Amino acid sequence: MTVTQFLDVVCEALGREPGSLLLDDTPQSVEQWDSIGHLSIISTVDEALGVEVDDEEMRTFTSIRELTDRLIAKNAFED
Amino acid sequence: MRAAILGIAWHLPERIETNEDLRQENPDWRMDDLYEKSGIRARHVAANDETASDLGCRAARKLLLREIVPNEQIDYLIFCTQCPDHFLPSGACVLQDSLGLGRHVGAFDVNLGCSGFVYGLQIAKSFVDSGVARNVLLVTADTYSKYIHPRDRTVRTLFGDGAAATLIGASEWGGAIGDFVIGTDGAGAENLIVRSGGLRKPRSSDTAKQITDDSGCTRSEDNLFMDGPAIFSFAITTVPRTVKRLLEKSALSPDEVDWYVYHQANKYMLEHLAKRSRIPKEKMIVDVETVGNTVSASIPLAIQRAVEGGRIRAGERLVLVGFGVGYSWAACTLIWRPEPER
Repeated sequence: MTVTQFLDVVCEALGREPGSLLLDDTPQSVEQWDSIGHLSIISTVDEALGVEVDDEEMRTFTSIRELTDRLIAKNAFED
Repeated sequence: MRAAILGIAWHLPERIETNEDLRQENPDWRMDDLYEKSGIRARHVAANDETASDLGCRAARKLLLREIVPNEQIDYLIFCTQCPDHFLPSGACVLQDSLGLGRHVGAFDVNLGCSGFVYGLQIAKSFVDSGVARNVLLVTADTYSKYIHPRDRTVRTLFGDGAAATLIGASEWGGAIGDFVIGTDGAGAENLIVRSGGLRKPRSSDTAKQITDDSGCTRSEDNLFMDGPAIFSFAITTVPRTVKRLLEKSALSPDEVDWYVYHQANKYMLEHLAKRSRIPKEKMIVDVETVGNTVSASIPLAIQRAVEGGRIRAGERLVLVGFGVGYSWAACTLIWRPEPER
């Protein structure tokens, strides 16, 4: 899965149109990103990418960019 | 004859708090969105003068009235709660007297939350299989509402109060409690906690200071705190591994399990866990809509209500998994075949 595909899956999990999330988006800029929305994003990481989410850095991100940077560091995406 | 669950009874407090009640009190809470994810529409809340031991006592009385075994053949009473009446004595000792059980009964408390029922089953099975006790009465009851700040949306919308009483003994009818896989990770202790009120940090004017966090939830150190994302991450990582280990240990394929009865955290969590372990949705018991997350009572409550609703039937194989506060988790298999009433 590429970063773009992953962002579309996150959009779906948050109930947004595909392509409507930007890397700079934060809980403040995305209405659906409340505490439940955050869980939806974590489950997407778990389910769509198969990345372990039990360590703190995989659940404490405060922007989409912070999350994708951490996932890139874990080689979670295809090139 | 093997140790088995001989019967379960449950009791919920009379007062019901609906999502509509919460919306009226907190107009800023998005209850429709919460319902869609959590699957919880209402929860029962104990009265001010009603404690977990009161609820447990009512559930136990209902079970004893069924006279599955003579009361004098109950040799142990285990009371699992995190909402005790007192620091001391043990709630189990007080319950022995309230229930009119004999003085030969051994009684003690277990302080565990969502994993407590399965832990209790393991203790009870060990006692029965080893001949320490003929029958064990396991009472699981919690009233987390008493720890919850009314303006803390993350926990008030999820938790409900409730109790269950379960009788474990040697089955004459072919029921059985099978293998167990348990675990602990105290590194997660801070993520679901009531910080004050014990001896480490007694309640004081300092601990009662209220703080509102970034998401608008208010609480003090006297209240229940839950880091939702941390608990969720712990569960979706630990539970599937635990179930896999349990099935391997029991030499069972997932198809040979009729029902998966997990701790009833919330619908979203249960659906995700089912998906993660490739468990068909129709085999996963989800019973949170009218009761919420009842902590140590949630698994026996879900089993018995599924039995009463005609879903779980005698002879079926169940996998139970409790997980949460601690972190603590425990899973087991069992054959459901309760004993008839006498």
